[in-house]
Amino acid sequence: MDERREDLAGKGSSYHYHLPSQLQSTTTVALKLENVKKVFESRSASAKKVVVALDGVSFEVKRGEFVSIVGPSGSGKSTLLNIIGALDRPTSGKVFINGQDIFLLDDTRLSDVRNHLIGFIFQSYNLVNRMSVQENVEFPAVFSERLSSAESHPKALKLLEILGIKDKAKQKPVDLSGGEQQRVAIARALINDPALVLADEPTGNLDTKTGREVFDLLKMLSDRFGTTVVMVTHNLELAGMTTRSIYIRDGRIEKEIMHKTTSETEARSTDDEDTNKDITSQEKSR
Amino acid sequence: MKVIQTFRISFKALGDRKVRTSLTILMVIVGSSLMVTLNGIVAGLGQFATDVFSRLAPNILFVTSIPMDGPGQRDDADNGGGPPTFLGQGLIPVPAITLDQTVVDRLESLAGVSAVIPSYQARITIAVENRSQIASVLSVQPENLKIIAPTLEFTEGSTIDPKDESAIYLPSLIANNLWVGELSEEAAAAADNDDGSTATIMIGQQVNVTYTYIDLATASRQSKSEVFTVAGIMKPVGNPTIDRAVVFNLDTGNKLLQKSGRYDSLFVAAESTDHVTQVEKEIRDLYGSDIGITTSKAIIQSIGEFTAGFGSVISSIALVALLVGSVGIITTMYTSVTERTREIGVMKAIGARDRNVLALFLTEAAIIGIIGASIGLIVGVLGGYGVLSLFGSNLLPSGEVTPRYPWSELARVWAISLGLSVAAGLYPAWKASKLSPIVALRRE
Repeated sequence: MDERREDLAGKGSSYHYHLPSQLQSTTTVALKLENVKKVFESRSASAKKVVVALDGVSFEVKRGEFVSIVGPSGSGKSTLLNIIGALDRPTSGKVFINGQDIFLLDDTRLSDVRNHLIGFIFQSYNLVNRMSVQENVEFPAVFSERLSSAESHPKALKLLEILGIKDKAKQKPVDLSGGEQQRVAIARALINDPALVLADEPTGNLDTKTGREVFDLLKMLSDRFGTTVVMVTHNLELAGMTTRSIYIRDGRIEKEIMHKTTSETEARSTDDEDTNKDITSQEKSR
Repeated sequence: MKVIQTFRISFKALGDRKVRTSLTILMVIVGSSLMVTLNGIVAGLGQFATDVFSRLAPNILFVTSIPMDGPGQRDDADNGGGPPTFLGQGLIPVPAITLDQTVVDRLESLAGVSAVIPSYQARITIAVENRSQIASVLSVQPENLKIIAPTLEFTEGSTIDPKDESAIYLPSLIANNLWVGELSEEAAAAADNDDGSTATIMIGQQVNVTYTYIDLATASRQSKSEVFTVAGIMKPVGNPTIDRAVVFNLDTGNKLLQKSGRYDSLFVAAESTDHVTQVEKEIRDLYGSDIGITTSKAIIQSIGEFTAGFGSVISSIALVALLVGSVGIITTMYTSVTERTREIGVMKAIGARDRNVLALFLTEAAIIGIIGASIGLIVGVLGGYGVLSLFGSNLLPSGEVTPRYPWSELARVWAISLGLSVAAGLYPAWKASKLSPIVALRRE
């Protein structure tokens, strides 16, 4: 699969991005969680209330994997995504991105982790409406000292081209459809070449057809460019098309299901015509 | 994050809220322009007064019978108790000494004194045909005018005869512009022409001078008139005391102005500027604090002190206006932070550090300050000229007072405006920078 992957910045590109030395890693594991716990305490007048949002979550995501996190409301999906995205610190446990234990870092370095290693895609896009599409895409690069504006301009346009909305570059997000806005958000998530793209219900605000188109784009990024994607979704059909689904319930991993992806199926059917199953599931009991 | 990018992003954010931003900038403009205008006018007035007194001969001491110190501060043993004054201790200075020929002779005998020029002063009405105006009189021997104002010159055709009791010397300001605007009541009633036009008085022309006073014996209002012949016209010297004063000789002044030989003031000419301090001390030794002595240097110093003090008060008032503008910035920025909470959350999620967010919001406050202060300076400078051209002529001869705007003062106001703006933005910006990204992203 790796051999078929392209450089997101374009073939023959002169862009070279480097992580800070302590964040560089040669590991094939993009994300690793070790016994992550998150406890919220709320103090009311009468009593102290303790809510265990995550209760010892551990899993790994390999580079290039497209993992979906599935679970009912209140299961701890969003808390998990916030912790993976370095927006919130766990009560205990460790999170490694590219081999780096990110919660050993102070808040400033954690901001750098969000900037350099993580790309966020939100359900409600969260674009800045006074900025043009291109400026939105380049916004994370503004906070990065690794990419000059001379470099980020063509790169943003290239990403918009890959996502099929290069012609909208000068428009404001409010003038775009929901699907187009989510594509802008995807481009923004990719501008700094993150180790990990985190998508929180990226199709939740879109109709089925548009949602599918957006999902296909994420899939394409994973397959074609080797982008590691972790997606929270309610949509089991879409979850079934990712590499792996992690089911969360009551703050724990209920089960993990490996899916045979379409691309793997196609590759395999070329090699072995006897194989005609689309999806194989491996259920790990926890 | 580069400075230019920070400015670009902040500028766009302000542009997104044009009306609110404009109104906030307006508040800063009002504050800074008020400061510039008022300081400029005060400095201009101070400079004008200093210039006026600088034109007085520097070796002249101005002596009056009005003590310079307040009566309450005087040692009563020194003046033999002195006359009782209005309101007990007395707020109104009461002359403790009569400036008569004896005093003049005594002062003339002092070392370092080259001349003592006595004078009477009063207000009279001067009239030609049906036009008249009220003017000050400086009754002094005309040959001594050059000692008081060394730069004084008479127009061609003027003749100075110290003994001519019917001779009057007019400043060109009055000779050329005997205007209707300041007609006395009687003259106004008699005047047919009220179109505001002016008349010119020539040398040799006759003028009628009327002195109105209250007769202490009868407590009635009395008038005394006399006809004078214009013997000379004085060119302006830049000192309003001379430039607006009608001059006639001492004997005439004594009779017409009912002075009974009691001079109003004495101009004591020291032999040189270096002798001024010594002469002042000698006079002080003679009469203690019962006599008022003023020197050009002291006046200029007093004006400087007054201007500085007055300027501080005015500056404080303007500063309040600027502080109000700062509160406006706090309100605007705080509202902006509240409205953009979600945007701040996004910024943090995509990797903005606390200090990046702080810088963005502080830059917004700074941009408001820079624009407001810069426009404020321009408006303030123009405002100073505008105010003086509209109202200055009511107080002082028009055109003579111009506001002063030293670069250092303009830079100071600019810096204060900008500093206050940034300081006002500090709390909202800090609040924005400390927002938790999760909480901020959850905000609708």
